[in-house]
Amino acid sequence: MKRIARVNIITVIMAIMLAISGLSPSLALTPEERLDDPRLEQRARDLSLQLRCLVCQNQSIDDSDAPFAQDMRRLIRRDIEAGKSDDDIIAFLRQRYGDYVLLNPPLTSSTYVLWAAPFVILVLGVGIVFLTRRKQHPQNPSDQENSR
Amino acid sequence: MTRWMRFLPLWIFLAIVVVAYAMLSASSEGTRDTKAIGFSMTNAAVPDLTLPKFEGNGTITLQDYKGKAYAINIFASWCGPCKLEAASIDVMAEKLPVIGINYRDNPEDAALFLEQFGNPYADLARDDDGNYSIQLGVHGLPETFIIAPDGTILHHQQGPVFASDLNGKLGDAIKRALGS
Repeated sequence: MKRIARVNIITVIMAIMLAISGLSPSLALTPEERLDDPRLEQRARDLSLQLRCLVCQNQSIDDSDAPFAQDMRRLIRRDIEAGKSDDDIIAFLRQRYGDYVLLNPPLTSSTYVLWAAPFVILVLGVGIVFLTRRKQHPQNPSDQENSR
Repeated sequence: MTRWMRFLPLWIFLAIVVVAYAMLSASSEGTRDTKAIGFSMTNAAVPDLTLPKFEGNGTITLQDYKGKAYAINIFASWCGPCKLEAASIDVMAEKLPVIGINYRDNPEDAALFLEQFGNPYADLARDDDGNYSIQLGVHGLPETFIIAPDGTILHHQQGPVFASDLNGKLGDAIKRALGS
């Protein structure tokens, strides 16, 4: 029995270690890509985190080492150095790849269901739990009277 | 409790590792779902690009094609579907001039590819770092654009051009570009 407990504890520890390793960001950015000015480089990183690598599975271009992500990172840095604003760069990419290029889709008529769904589901869930509990444990004295 | 049930956490953990590994392997292959993006450059104006020629030091300017119907085909020797569409690009090139853009390729491999599958291009440019292709909204290979004489992109094909496409939307766009 002790042996089984030990194996299970080791398994849990391994699972935690695996989860932690998944949380640490992979560094796809190569030293040659970085801008010399730390402020401009930070702007490029912030933008890269908002943009989807279109040939990857739900990864930002900052996280991905795919050539396409590298091309986009290079374009962003080139545009930042050329004096373009963040909005200009995002607008340029949205013109070419649509809203899908943004990891957080904007709130538009076609995405409001996507944004509202979690809140609607939460409210419904809380409502169902509340009603079920109320039926099981009536709080109101008059309810208790009636239930007798 | 059976013997294997006692080690249930271990089996669950191993199953998660196997599934995660399979998913990561699939995503790193660079495959793409051409429908996932749900967006194309169709109806947009072709950007005014000046690209380096595939051979030598000259340049190719898209502005020079203004007033003519033409097509742009993005390809590379390392791209499997580019080999599959080679015959259809040949047929397309008989109808209107096609500008080839060789994307992120080794020049020797690209030359070998053109020798093997033919060179149907009226003009051949290269895009060594993907910068020009991003201007065109390219996110994978191959991609093909049919351009009207006024510079409007009439059709943006994401993925290979097959014989059936020449009789479908792409074929219709060619006819419209040629004004017939």
